[in-house]
Amino acid sequence: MTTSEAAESPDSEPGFPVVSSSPDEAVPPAPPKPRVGKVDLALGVLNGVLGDYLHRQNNALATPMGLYHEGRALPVEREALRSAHPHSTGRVALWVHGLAVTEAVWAFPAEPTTDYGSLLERDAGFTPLYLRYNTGLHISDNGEALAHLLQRLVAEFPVPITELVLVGYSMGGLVLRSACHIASEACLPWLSLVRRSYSIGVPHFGSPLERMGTVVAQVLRAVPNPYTRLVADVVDLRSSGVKDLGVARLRRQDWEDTTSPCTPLLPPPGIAHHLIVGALGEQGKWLSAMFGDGVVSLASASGRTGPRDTSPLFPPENVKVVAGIDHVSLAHHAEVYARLRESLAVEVA
Amino acid sequence: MTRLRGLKDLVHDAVEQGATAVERIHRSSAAKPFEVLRLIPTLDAPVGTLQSLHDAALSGTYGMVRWVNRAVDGTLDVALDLFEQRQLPATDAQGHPPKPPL
Repeated sequence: MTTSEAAESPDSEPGFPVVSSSPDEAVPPAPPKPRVGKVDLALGVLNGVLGDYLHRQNNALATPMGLYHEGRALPVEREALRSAHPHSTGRVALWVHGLAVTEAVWAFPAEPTTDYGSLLERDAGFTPLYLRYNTGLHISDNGEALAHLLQRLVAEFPVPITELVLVGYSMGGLVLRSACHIASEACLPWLSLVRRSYSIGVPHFGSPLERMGTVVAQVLRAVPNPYTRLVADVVDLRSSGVKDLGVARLRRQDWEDTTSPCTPLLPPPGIAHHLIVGALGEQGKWLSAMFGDGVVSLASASGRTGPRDTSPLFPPENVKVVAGIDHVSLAHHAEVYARLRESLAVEVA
Repeated sequence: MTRLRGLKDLVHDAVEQGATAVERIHRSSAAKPFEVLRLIPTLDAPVGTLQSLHDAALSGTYGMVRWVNRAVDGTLDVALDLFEQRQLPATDAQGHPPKPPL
């Protein structure tokens, strides 16, 4: 199902930009411009690769964590929030992007002004709030910053927040889990507003690609040659955020002491966790079993240590596998939105 | 402007650390033939002198790269400061910024 098909389906209101077909119009209207500029996209990549270094050096290219609205920073202040969302009902959905991207990743490629957030606002009345953050920092550091940002948001939002839905894509889901853990330990009241959370292609047990990077760096460093050591140095330049993804280090102690195994962080109780998992091929086929969505394995995205794990982190009935979709497309795909919407509708019913 | 400064700092750091890394490899690679030549007893002393000269030239060359890099960084800092000052609104005789039009 394409985005346009989703928009035209009988059970959805047309919400995508409509092109006028008047015969009088000689010049076709320009396609909608993306809300996030190319410089911001490039900075997203730079932050993913070197974000921790930029942060340590106080470099202005480091992205500070904040909410963004239509490509611009949205201060967590009552008036600014009211002006950006004048019709908010207090039901809020927070959208947290993944590694080396910005909130632009949510936008449908053919319709850059449309994303899951805007569709969900239209269909279910959830005010979308988009987070942008430095993905090169440790996941636990971003989780801590997010926990405190949400505390400010709850205090400053122009209407009382009655429900906060958390949606994380890829690394964003891990940042959300880390933030929930910190809120749970510090008894931050915003956690009681969260009843549903969604993980889209989140490597709950780490990403094999990053683990491969670690092995490559170790092998290159072991070779007694200055050239291979230089390559190892370059490979090791990858940010703390990337390294945390290897085994999903969500707490400070997980990366401060890497000698002991990283115990999985249990999700906070009282929240319905839903997982949307991408698979390159059909479910059960070798392509999906081997590569998952191309970046995250099926087991990790489903909250299981392996295919035979009998005690997954999340209830298996809340795991939805979308076949024939790669990791990047998970953030902007009509079928994924259909699953999100379906799941929200079931919860509401 | 802050982003431009950030980019300048990043390029400066990349050149500084890149030059140091390449110098380390250059020194390490050049040391191999010197080590082999110094195995010949009669060549040990002259090759040792030659290696010292080579290493000094190497340090000078890469040091010059780093010096130029720092000089360019400092010059760009001054240029960006001047540009920022010119962007600030003009002030009146008392040093106050002009009032916005009603």
